[in-house]
Amino acid sequence: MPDPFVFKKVLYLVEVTGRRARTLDELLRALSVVPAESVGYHMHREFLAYKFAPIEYPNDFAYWSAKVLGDDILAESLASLRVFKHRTLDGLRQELMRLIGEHLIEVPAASKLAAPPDREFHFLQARSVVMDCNRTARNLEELTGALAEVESSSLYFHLFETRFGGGRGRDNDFAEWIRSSMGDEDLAARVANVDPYMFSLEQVRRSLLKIFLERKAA
Amino acid sequence: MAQQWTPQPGPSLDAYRPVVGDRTIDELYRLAAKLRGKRVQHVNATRAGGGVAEILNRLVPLMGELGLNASWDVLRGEDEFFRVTKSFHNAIQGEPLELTSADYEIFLKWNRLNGREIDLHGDFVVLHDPQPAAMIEKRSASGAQRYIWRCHIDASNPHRGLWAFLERFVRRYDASLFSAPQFTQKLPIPQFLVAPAIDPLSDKNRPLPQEQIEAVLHRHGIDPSRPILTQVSRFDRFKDPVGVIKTYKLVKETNDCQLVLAGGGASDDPEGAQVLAEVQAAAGQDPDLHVLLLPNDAHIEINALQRASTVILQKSTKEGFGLTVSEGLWKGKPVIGGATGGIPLQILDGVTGYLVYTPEGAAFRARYLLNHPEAAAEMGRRGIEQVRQNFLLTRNLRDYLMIMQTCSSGDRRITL
Repeated sequence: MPDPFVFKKVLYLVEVTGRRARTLDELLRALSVVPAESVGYHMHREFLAYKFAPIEYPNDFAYWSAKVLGDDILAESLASLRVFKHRTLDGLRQELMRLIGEHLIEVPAASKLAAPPDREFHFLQARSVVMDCNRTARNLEELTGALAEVESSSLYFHLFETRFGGGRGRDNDFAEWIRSSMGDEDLAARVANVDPYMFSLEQVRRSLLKIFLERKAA
Repeated sequence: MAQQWTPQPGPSLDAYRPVVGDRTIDELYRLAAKLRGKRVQHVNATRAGGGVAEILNRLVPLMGELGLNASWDVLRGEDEFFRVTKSFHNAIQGEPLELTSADYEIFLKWNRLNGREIDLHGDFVVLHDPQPAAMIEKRSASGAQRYIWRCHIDASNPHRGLWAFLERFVRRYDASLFSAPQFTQKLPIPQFLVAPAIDPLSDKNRPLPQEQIEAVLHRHGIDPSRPILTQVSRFDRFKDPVGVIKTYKLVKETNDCQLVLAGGGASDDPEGAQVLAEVQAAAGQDPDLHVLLLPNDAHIEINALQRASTVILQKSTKEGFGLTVSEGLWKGKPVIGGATGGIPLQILDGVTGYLVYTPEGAAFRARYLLNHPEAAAEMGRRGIEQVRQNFLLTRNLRDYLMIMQTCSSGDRRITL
């Protein structure tokens, strides 16, 4: 009997790292020394927040570049970063540094941009408490039922939080479980291809449910 | 003697379920399970007046309901101590003040005196704001206790000499809590970010019958049929009450409206009376301008004034967090706030209200909202949800439970 899928959720307790940046040079320097988990936090935390409108920029680095520094070119570059192509947070950090470094060479004026004193980029990180949602699934039907009901922080946990666990690249938890426990490679691939960066958590929930329902109907 | 203060029992945790949902309350019980029986001791400077006392009045009983042994001690002090701590408060928020060695001596004298009178027995001792910060000197050598310093004010640009003095004490704590990242300083201890929160079931925030709201307006001679701009805050220069009067006068040039400036004093704020006199002088004899000095327990009065308002203002020039913003949002009102301190964390600019820098900016936004009531109503609806998700007491309680868990275990990731 395969292990059931155990729905979990995560609560964050946020702390400062003590590193902050007013310019891109400072951002680059801080990026090289902050804990890797700070990079992960700033990449994903926006998805956990309640939203009144679609997310404009998918990560804090892109948002700060656009809204605080007014550097829309860098913001575009940072927003389009394919986070999960990287196997580790350190790999992701290197890619961020490469994009910012190259931008500073290509657009020298960018190094003159500075945030106002109260709009600095504060590097944060989170301590986390992981809890069971008291929902498990042993088959696709149960997975569908539970997915429809669990809180959005559970979706966040299974889509984002576990991706860099163990220092290896992996698909989201749903795809991993479908592959390993159900042996359904085709369904796992479809689930893995849902791009959480393009949707709110509720939209991802609807997309996954649609895929599961189509699979059951097939 | 310093006093142990026992808050009146309030609504039970179950009463919050209809407001925040079962999952949120169940989460609290699960987080508290490993902390049952632990002694959590809060220490602050006042039992009434200001956001800290309001939060503790609810947080302490709710921690008790979760099985923690929670208590609250209030510092004793005479005028000299509160004069100095008020200066410290202002200097931490960036006011250029001359602090003398006598001021520091007075601060230490009263901290040591309170340190002798208050038995710091908690497994977790939470000292709030600078007033009791030096009581860390009383920490026992065993190291079993966890000391947490909760800074509710904006320490982003403090008086350097004062900060150097306080930092000697703060660095000896196990952890510190700040309301926003920009308030933090370089410290060798963890600095957690914990936004304060409002209690949706308190007299200040619970729903009120319309008759009760109108009775309050009637009592103060406020016309319920005409637009009302309201700022609720202590009479404190950082809240810019005189700037709010200027805003009102600018709005009044084009739109009929009334202004309510309502606030109380706090026992640790000797400057309030002076600021109130300045505000009354600026208000003059305008019958539509109501300056209300309310007692500290006038919670229903404040609630009614906020619910009757068309637009809420919190035009601070310096702010710790500015919980009156969340109070206003929770009443379904658009809030115009100064872009300072914790206000930008609460107002989503253009979504739940507006962030402004000047009386003119506040007037421009207020005129827009008075002329577009449908936009104001939509902002109000979003504001309620914004507060429900982020600034209710249950979230604050959850953060404290997580901090105690992480301070106990030292683990960055805890699985329950």
